[in-house]
Amino acid sequence: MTAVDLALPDLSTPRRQVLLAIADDALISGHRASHWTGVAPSLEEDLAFSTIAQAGINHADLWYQLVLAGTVDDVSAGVDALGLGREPDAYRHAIVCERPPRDFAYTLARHWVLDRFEAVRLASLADSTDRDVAALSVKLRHEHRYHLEHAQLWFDRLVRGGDEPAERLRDGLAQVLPEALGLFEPVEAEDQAVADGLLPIGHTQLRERWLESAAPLLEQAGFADLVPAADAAVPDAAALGRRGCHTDDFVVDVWPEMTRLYREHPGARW
Amino acid sequence: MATFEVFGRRKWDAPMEHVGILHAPDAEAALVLARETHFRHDEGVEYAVCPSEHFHTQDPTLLQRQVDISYRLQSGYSGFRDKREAARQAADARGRGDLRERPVPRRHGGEA
Repeated sequence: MTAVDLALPDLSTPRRQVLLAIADDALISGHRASHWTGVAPSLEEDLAFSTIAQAGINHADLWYQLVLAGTVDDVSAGVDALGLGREPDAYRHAIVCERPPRDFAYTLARHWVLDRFEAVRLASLADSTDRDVAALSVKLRHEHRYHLEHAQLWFDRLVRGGDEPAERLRDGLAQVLPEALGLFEPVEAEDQAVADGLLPIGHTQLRERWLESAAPLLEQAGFADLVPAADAAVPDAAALGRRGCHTDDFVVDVWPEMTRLYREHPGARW
Repeated sequence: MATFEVFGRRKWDAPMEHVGILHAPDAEAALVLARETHFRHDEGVEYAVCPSEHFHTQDPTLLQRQVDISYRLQSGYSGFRDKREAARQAADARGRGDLRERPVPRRHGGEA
């Protein structure tokens, strides 16, 4: 259902499945990050986190534009229709992205894990044979550097900050890391996307690269026991996000709030 | 938490200017946070932070003048045209018309 009279392209092609998953991860994690605006621990952190939230939504916008790629005349309305006009089961983000912010330690743990994942994913997509995808990935990697620096700053500080900060980070990571494996679930048409060269690597290799990047940092910080095993399965509660199955955290919390204005004012422009 | 002074350059050929302060635990964190606290709207091309405690601050009473230094200030020469006219009239009144003939120095480009 779209609120405006706009024919969206077929979203089931391999390219659009892949790009929607990337865009939806950015939109939903950005939306969750925005919950800290006005209530972050300090003014400076409030501004930093708000920027990270805005960047997520900005990046989603750019990926949605690639999903549309010339299929609609009104790109802005098309992006709104993709970001806000789909039913909950048409969103392809991983479930870890839709979890509520809980406390700041959980938020930082998720921020750190998602950013390390995004860094590895963008690095791989920079080699895509799809020139638009490769070019956008290169651009976003540069933007993404700030997110990584910010996340690593907090991570290091909490680790060195004494018993309570390190314990709270540990609790956050213990909740995030198993669910983060849902990020690596393939979209249905992944094999075709890899064969086409759109995806330079499949989800198994992507997960290996992410572990290579994250595991040493987790080990140095004293969290070796939290590093997911190479063959660990996605917990049932966080599985199948890439296929459109979402929890109440999305279906009755994020989605109604995020899409309400769009649904109540069909065709509105802002 | 410490206070940091934040400086930024609007363009590469512009000097570093003070843009404000922020609070952060150390310089590393201050550098990360300064970007969004003071430069989130493209306010510059480069920035730097400095702990406020590293500022050597002069005793402010040294800037409080006890004597008239208006002769050093541009504002001390305001109303010059009226003063000059009054001086001419006083010279005429004393029969010193020759003073009137003396060319009045003019600033390059127009009236002083």
